[in-house]
Amino acid sequence: MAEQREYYEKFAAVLRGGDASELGPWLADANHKERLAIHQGNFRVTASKAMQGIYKAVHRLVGDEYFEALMANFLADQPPKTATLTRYGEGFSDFLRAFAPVQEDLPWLAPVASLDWAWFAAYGAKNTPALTAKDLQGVAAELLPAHAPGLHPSVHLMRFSVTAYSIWRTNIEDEDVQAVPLETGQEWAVVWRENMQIRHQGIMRAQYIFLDAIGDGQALVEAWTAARQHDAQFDLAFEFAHWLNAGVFKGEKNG
Amino acid sequence: MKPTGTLPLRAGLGLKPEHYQNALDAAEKAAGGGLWFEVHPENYMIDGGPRLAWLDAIAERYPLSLHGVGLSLGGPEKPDEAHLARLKKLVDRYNPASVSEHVAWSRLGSTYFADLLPPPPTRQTLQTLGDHIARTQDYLGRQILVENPALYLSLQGDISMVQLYVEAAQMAGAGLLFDLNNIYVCAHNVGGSTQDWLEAVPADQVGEIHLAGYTAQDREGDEVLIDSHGAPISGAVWALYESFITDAGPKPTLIERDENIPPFDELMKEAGQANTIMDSVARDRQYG
Repeated sequence: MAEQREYYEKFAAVLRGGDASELGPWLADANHKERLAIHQGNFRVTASKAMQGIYKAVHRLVGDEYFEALMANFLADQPPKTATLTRYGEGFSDFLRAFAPVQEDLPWLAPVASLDWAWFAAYGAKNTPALTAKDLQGVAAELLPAHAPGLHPSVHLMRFSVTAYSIWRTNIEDEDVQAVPLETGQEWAVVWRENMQIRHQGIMRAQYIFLDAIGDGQALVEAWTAARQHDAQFDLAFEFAHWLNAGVFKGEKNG
Repeated sequence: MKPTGTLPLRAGLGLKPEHYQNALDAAEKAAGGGLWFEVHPENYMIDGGPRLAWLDAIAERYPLSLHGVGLSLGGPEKPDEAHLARLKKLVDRYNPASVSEHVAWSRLGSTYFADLLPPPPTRQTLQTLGDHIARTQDYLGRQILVENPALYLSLQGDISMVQLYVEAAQMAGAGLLFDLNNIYVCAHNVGGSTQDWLEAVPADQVGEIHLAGYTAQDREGDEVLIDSHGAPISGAVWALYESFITDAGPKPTLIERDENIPPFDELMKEAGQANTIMDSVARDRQYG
């Protein structure tokens, strides 16, 4: 199969931007060499469209032309590995973080991309039930602080050294994008799916620490203790009720 | 081997997210008589969430067809086991009326090229393609249909593309998904005639027909017809459809549209047109 294998390898090289004449011996009509650009375009456009569907805020922020240019670089760096394009692009945020032209001029773009991915991942996360107050009816009040519910699989907790959440939120929610000052410093956010609705919320640092500890499998009282190191007023009962109602804890029976 | 071919002998639509609610509404109004839907399984290879919930609701109401784009059956490598496993999970979840794939390749080594690329029409390819189809059927535990390619390149080979398509399916015991827009596009782009295809494809092995629109691209004087699924079905392809159905009898017929998605009702009109042709042929066969 050596010769035939060569056909596929040469074709793949052309798709990666190689010289179309390499495939000449396999073309019955030499003029069709130029048509290989159709397949080169299909590869680029299909992958790019899949990514546009995921990275909506990034796309809106940078526009078609710049997004296409970013995609061309990303595609060359990290081509799809599987036919499931619904899973393609997870590494885009890290790619942007390491891509010098972006990091120098648009330092908030990689964090915004991580929020786009979080939204997308939450959208397709497993249908695990969230913990409800009803699930806890049999738990004695004094035992509740020792409870370690864990987080629902759709939950993504994020922290940013720039105002990435504010930038992302206005770009996915507002028809007219709001101006966001870049100098206001750190932000923390949580993205999750409540039933079939994607939710997101900007949170305080102590809330981030609390939820992060819960996600690590710690008990409520341990998470509360960690959060109180940054906010002495952190109210366990209030926070637990809030996040329980929001559906961010993992359901007991289907964990 | 569980056979496919249980789709209704009526027109179906490629299901787009824009039309999820329309599809459910059509069922509520009992307007969907004989209607069925086809999806690319790759778009539903996810763990959960709204997209799968929509498909669950639609599959409860209509026959479903899974039409894959990612198995790379025409490539030099065996179908990817991880992809097969994800496909089987969906097949088990929905027990679709039909499962189909393409005579094309899209994967080499660790790269997926996100396109339906032409395999070389050779006897060597015939063996590997037949083997890959058979492996897929064995893995899924059911027969699949395979679709003829749309070609933009005329390739060297020791057999014709229609031979590759028909004989590989026969070797594996698979059925045929016959795309009439693809044969129109092929005849224009790489020569031969649509008649060559119509004569060479055994109608009794065709389990489904695809109808779609093409887009003409002028490449410095070289006009190429692109299988874009981005326009209404052309008059020439409707004529091919009428000709094929007249000889073969009614077949499950998919109206495909993946670009420039029109309102649901417009696609239903095209489905209606296909049903009218099938009804007319059925009447002629009954009384003629």
